[in-house]
Amino acid sequence: MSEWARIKEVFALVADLPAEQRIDALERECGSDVALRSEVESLLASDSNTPALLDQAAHDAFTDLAVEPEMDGIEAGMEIRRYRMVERLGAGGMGTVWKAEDTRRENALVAIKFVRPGMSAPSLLARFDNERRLMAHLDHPNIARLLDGGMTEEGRPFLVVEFVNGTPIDRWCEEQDLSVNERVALFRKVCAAAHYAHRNLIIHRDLKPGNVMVTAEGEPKLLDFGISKIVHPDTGLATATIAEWRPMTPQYASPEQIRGEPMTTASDIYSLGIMLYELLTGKRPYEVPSAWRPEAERVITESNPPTPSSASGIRQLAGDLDNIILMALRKEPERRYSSAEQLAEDLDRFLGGLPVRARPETLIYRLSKLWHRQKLVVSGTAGLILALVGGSLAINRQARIAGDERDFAQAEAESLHRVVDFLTDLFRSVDPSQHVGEPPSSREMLERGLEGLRGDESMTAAVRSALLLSIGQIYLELGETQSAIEPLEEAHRLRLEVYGPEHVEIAESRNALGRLRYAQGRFPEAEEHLRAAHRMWTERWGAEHLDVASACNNLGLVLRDSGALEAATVALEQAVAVREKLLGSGHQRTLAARNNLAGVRYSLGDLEGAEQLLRQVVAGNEALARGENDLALSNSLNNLGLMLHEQDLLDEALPVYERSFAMRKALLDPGHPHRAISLNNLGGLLYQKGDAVGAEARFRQAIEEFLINGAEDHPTLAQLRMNLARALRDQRRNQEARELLEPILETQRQKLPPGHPLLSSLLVVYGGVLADLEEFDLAIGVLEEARDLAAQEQGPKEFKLDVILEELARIEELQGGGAAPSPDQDRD
Amino acid sequence: MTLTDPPPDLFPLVYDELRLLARSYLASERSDHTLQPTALVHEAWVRLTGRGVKPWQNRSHFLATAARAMRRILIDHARRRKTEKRGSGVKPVSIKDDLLGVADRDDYLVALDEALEDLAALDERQARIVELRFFAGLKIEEVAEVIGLSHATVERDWRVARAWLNREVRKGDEGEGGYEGEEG
Repeated sequence: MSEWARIKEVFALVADLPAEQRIDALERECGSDVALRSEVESLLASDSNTPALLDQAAHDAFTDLAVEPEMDGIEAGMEIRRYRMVERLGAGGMGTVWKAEDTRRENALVAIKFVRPGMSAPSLLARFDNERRLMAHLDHPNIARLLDGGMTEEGRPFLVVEFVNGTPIDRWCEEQDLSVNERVALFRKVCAAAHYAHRNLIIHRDLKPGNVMVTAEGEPKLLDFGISKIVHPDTGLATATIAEWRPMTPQYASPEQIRGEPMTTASDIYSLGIMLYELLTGKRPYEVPSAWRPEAERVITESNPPTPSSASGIRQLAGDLDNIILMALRKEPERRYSSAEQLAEDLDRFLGGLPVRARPETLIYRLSKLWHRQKLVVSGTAGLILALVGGSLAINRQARIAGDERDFAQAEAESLHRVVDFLTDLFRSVDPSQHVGEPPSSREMLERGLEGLRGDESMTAAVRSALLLSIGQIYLELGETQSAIEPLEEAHRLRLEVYGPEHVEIAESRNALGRLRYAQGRFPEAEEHLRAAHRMWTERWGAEHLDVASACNNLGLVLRDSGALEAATVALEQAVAVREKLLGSGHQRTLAARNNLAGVRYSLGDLEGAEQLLRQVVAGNEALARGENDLALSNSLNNLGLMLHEQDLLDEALPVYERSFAMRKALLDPGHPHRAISLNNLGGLLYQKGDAVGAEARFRQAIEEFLINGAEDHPTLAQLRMNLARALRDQRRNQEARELLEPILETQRQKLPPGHPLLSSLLVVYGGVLADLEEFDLAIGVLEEARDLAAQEQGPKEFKLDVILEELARIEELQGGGAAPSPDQDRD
Repeated sequence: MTLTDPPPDLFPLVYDELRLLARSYLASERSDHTLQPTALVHEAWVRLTGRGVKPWQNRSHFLATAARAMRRILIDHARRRKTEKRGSGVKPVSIKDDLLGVADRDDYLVALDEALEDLAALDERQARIVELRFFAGLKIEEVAEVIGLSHATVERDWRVARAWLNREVRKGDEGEGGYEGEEG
């Protein structure tokens, strides 16, 4: 079979499978043939993205034949009503344009636009007529006037507009070799004209250089307002659009326009911004691949154009003009100039040497985009900066909630200044030129950051608490639980003071506190905080919100580790569902919630289900991973290894564990709990293979790592030590095992919530050790307690109960010196 | 029956007929504006057979030829307009374009035509299927009949071809655009 035939075959096999089965099927079909797999995957990507593109293009292209100029049925010299056709000026998707003479006026030239055949639906005509009448009211020296309109004998509608004998503005500027100031002055008139139309409730929808002609006298004229929409006076939104009639030039389209959302005057302001960019730099801010709609949308909605000054190297643009243009080009309509007049005024101020209103796009804002787009970088200073930005976003949100735009602007400015000052100081303090030796670690940066916060009296509680929250959560990401305590508790205290206990900002600090308590192994407290955060956020945003999903995810982890597996399932399923809906199924945070859900399945004893889920998560993370080492990937790999391990697939589990551990060693500092977990799991594998000595070494390493940051009474530590005790028992070092277990039991009896499986597990090991030490009565009491506890646990307990029964039977045997009653004797 | 080698006199005949038909069709004021290539192709068949012109072996043969002719008509049209655009000055009055601007669509069509050549090198049959579907607007069943394959096979081939073409055409876009890698 040829290569292509094989590709087709595999494509056909997997194309209609649901996403989660695709991965398996691809694996099965492609095996180690990487080239085959990547080809099929790439085709699948094009397949699912574009169900109808070709079909649409075929239809459009065909209909396009209609606009061949010679096909409009009109010829020079022909008279239509009082107009005599002179020459065809052009043709496009909508129809043709003719230059014509008005026979009732001397030397009066007009331009007549004929709608192309096939666009004559009655509703369209009615609308056409209606709009024509409204447009006729536009009377501005810089707008080409709509003079008349009507219908040809064949019933084809046409518009008559002022004939503008001019040059498109971009060409005019080049030909006249205008200076920057001259260009700005000319463009200012364009903005004023647009504002006039806006005031008359008309938006243009397709502003571009080709629609702005400059007359020989140097006056700009805006063309084609004739097909724009009427803006509704109440809402500022354009009234319902006609689907067939959606003119747009993607290169000048605003994000809302390319997305097909309602357009407002702000959409015209965006197009004006693109034009001004182009006029002053000679370049477009970005290139839109218009033949490919999803790509066009992506480019328009996501790309950050370089400042005009840097794009062109024209220094005169730096500062005010950069700011003015980029303000018009903001992605969110509400963040642009609120009117074309304001834009015109700012251009006036620039020309007059006065300070302009436009401010540069804040560092915060730009970094916040990164914050949303990229996962937290755990090591290095990037994490710190992102976290600080996250903090300042929180401040902005507070102001937004307060509902006052002025407050919002002030808070933004305030937080910007604070954070920028703070960062500047921070970076100055670690400037390598002022430093000897190694560059500072992220830890040092954080410490300095905290110091700076402590010393700064001028900072408001809102800013300070946001920064503290950010720093504290970075510590959590770094696994440095102890260091996270102070900033997070302080942040929460500050917020309580400022907002009171029921304000929505408290949800954020309680969510962070919940994470902290979870990391500390203080599950009941963690649960309380997270439930509160979940409640407050749900009340504020409704259930479908990323904050709510975050609380659900964290709560799910806590509940799982508390042994409340059903509740954990509910919480994590909500987290998965919300993230899937809002972020998509391939998003890292969706995968993280799925990973956690797999953890609950595992705790419930559904190893195959958990394994299947984890294989999807691993595949998803492989796709997202940057470079060889990736934390999210290391987590899902570790968990996948555990599922294999638990199914006694030890040889399969080992390389998976090792790969995960290698990543963690590369990415995490010693003392991160995940490193301890990896060591524990590798130890468990050795233990199961019968290598108790090797296992002991791994468990001890794990405990050592965990203790760097972990609390002495942490349940995970209890688990690590329990494993160590097992390895000791296998080596007949029962006394050591007993001494290890007793203090743990004492602590965890107090600490673990009722029904937690760890307590009964500890008792099983302890009972066995006691039996080996021939403390039979004690052992029986312990094992019977374990049996009663286990019977009440959620999740799988058959195995545990079997072990308990075996132990009890063994004790009976040992006690009775082998004199168990035989069936024969029983009969008597 | 060979689909790939129509008698030399057939192609221009069909080409001219279709082109003529397209003109009159579009110039006349028909109220339905859902103009379809299929309608045109079918009408050409009716007219040509009505006139007794019948150098093709059967209807399938005709359709295959017509699809290729339609392709040529559309691509020629797009190429010509691209050239005109380069040659002439700027139009004094601009006219609206649709979402896929006419100029961009011309680029798209030309790119598609080239990609289709590449696909033909890979799999001649698939390229034929695309021609019939895309340029003659035939339904899957009709394509299956013309090619003489099962509905399922045609559907599968069409889908893979479509994904492949989408990707290839898009590749060109990305190369030219240079919009990747923008970060604040």
